[in-house]
Amino acid sequence: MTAPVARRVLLVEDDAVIGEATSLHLERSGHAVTWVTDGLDAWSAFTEAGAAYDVVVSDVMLPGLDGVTLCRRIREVSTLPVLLLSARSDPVDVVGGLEAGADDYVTKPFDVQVLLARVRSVLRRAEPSPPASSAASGGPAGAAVPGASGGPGAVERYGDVELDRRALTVRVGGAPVALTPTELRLLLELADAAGAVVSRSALLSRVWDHDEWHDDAHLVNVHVQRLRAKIGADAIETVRGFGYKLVR
Amino acid sequence: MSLRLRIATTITGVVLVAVAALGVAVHLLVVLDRVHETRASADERMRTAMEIYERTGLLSFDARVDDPDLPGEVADEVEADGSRATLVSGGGTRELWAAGRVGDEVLSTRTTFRPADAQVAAVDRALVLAGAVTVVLAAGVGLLVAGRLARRLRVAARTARSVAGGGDPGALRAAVGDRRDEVGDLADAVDAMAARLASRLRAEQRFTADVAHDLRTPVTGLATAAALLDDSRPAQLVRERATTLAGLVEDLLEVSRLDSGGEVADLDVLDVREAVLGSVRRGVATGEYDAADVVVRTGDEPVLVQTDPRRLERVLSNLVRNAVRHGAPPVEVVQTGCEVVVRDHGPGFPEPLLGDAPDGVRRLSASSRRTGGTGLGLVIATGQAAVIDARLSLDNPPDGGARARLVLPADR
Repeated sequence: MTAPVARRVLLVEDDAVIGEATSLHLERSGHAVTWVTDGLDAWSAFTEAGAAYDVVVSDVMLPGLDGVTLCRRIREVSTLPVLLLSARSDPVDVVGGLEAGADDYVTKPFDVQVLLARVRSVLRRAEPSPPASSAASGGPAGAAVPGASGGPGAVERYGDVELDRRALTVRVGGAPVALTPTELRLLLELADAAGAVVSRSALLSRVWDHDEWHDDAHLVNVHVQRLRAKIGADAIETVRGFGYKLVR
Repeated sequence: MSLRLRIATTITGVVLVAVAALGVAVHLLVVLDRVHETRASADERMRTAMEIYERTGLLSFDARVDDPDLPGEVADEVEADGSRATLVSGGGTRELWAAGRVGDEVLSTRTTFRPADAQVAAVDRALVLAGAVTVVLAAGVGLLVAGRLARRLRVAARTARSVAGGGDPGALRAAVGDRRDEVGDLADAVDAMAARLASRLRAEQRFTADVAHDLRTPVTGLATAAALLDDSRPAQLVRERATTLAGLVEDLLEVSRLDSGGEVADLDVLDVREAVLGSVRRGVATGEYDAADVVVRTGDEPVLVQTDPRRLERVLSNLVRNAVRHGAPPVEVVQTGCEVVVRDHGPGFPEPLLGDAPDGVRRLSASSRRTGGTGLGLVIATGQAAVIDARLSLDNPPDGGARARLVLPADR
């Protein structure tokens, strides 16, 4: 499933060979790649034309500004998807990166097919079209007023949390909350089964398109923590050893 | 014979000999003194007898005149110097002659006496008693002193063993106390040796880590670039080797991290069954082995444990991969409660690997040229198991194959 429109990738990688090879891979699969080798260059590229990119793919260890800090800075102003490239034997990097707001990560040395699949997955999440449950919705204008025209189920309430499936907006106690595409997808998946436990592997496969066998605790845990920080710690309950449930 | 007993026995022996010699000497001196005393009194009596004889012509004190039994040497002496003489002869019962000349006649007395009388016997008894007390005292002191020495040496040996088992190098001096003696010297020497070895080891670990770290970026670049190649056979070969090389470098980095000892488990709750099933599914999905080669049996009930999921996965995947690579199918993975057994039907683990917490893993992997793969898998499994407090033991069951048993600490 190759995207019909060229998606623009900001690749941050300081090693010449890895950077060039990776951008070649991304270009081969139809993406437009801007490759910078320094964290500070990446930050200025983002501040100059952040809207021009659909996804940031960044190494963690970088000169100038490391990938985790870059990610945190981007998150302060934007929900642009960020995918980190991290080494397998540096689990601390992974957790730090996810806590800083990365949507996903790929461990180096990566299988190129895995990297491309993750990029596709994170781009798909960021696509404005809402998930199948509200396929009948209009354009992504975001003009839908919650509760104004929505039919039954358009705006769902879970405690303080209001989820507008049509506009894909979330309010907590009436105030809008900016969720990254991945956080939104996670919330939607939990909302689909509100009150019931959703297993970690189910979330991994539905939100991140990870294979069922790829049980990555950090990815889900940290995203749930981030979501909790935004919509309230009590909204999502952890069921030890099984998964999570959205409290009705 | 222990050092303590040997020292105590030696001290006791020496004291025994000394006391005995002293006793004998005192005994002899006492006897000599008795003889001397008897002699003096005999001489005195002789002088009195001579005076009486000279004045009155009467014999007193059993004195005889010109006794034919008088030994020659006494007679000669009396003749020669004209005065008195005494002679003592004999052993247990002594014969004492006292003689003196009065004019042309020789007066003499003959007395027999036993120098070792009751008084001497009392002295002897006192000597024996004092000797016995001294020997017992010496034995006691010897045992005490030797015991203290032996105890310090034992403590030193125990501490040295714990250092050998991974304890803090430099602990020996603290263990034996700060007395400046040979034991202290030995402790200092062993501590210095341990410190030197530890620093050598650290240097080598750092070197390994640096090498692996330096290799990582170029090798990752190689693997990424190789993935751009077409699908020709040569390209496949390059890709496959590049991927293997990248994996090896990562393994090496993982080992050096584990060696540095700074690894901390990142705990989470998980179901052991799921961990086992997931690990094998992953191995199959990534093409490491065929589903047909690995048989998984898990219990019916979920088994929740608190552990580090990533590390547990590293242990499980390395054990299964090792079994598939170095053993022979079918590889059985059996989970029962907190225990996971990975078993193959190959030639079994080599001898140095067997047992608990296999130190041999590293030795073997370092010298392993027997198989195509590296022995790093088991080193990683062992190291990661230690980080999550799991017990990993390797053995070869009697009916063949190799068996690795992992026991996770139960959820607290």
